[in-house]
Amino acid sequence: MTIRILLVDDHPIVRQGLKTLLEGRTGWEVIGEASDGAEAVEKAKELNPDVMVLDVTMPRMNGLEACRVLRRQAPQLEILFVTQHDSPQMMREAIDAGARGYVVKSNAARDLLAAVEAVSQHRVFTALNVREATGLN
Amino acid sequence: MKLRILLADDHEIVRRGLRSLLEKREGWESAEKPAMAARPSRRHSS
Repeated sequence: MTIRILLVDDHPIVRQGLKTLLEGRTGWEVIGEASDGAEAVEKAKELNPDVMVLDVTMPRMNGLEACRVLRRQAPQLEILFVTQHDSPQMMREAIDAGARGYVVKSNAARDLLAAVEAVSQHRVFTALNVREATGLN
Repeated sequence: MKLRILLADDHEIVRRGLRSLLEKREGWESAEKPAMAARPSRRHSS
């Protein structure tokens, strides 16, 4: 299955790590990268990805604000947060903002591929610790 | 020039990114020691 992915994180080294992991899957393609929320909104308009992997804390526009804008601008786009924040409040806020999935960065190598696969099929992905913290299924 | 580099970071995704960047240089090779990140640092009292 072909999945076109846009990576958004303000740290190039994190984007590079995510990219090497994602591009190991046949048919998955990282079609672009952005380093803040505002750039993510612009690139989503220009490139029309299937899935956006989005950080929360970034300069100019954070991931939550970008997610809310994108929900209106590109309703077909699925958004997966990959962030260092592991608080239940942040997880709930991300899902409320319109994200389909949430992965904690320290678990990204373990959870990312399953999460992208799930959200690309319009299914919610939350790792076990996220489900326990938020009550989401 | 041959260079052997040890990567230590608690985020595997960061180690992957660093490794992919460093290994683009000919002769540079990296190895990982993730357990180091979990080990508490030792402080010496004077």
